[in-house]
Amino acid sequence: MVLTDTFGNYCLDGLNTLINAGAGAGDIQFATSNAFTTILATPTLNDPAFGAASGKSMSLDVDPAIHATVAAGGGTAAYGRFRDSDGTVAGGYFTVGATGSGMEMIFSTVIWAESAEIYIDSLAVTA
Amino acid sequence: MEINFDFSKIIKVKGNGRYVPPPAKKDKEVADESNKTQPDVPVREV
Repeated sequence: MVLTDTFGNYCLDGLNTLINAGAGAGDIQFATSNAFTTILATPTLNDPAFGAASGKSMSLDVDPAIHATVAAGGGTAAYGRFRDSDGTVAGGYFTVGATGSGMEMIFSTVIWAESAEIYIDSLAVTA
Repeated sequence: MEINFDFSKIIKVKGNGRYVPPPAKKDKEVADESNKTQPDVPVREV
């Protein structure tokens, strides 16, 4: 089914609403598996996380910068997911990969060392 | 008529991030053995 812009934007704005649902700002958890049992980094998003959807696309607000320190032990990042400030998962999860991997969220490397810093430079969600 | 509506195929994320390695640990200072002060050895009087 091909979505109209109106419906696509409605879906995306709905996801943004879920991410912003808590009293505070939402976040993204980066983990080694889609079970999210080993969390590598959890950057806090701006509030609201995204601008309004337009043309079936919405962009993450990255000003101020979105970043986080990698947790003790480090690991290989493979998945990410959005949460609201209460820790409720919003939407689902997405794939994380290194440059050239074709995954949804790309970093130069996914082998993250403890105390490294990861930044989200850009992120768009489309419908 | 059946319409399949799979949001996982509809909603896509596309993002780019940066990885900044952790700061290098300072090397432990290795004491210079040649400058180490040796304890006095008591001389036994014969």
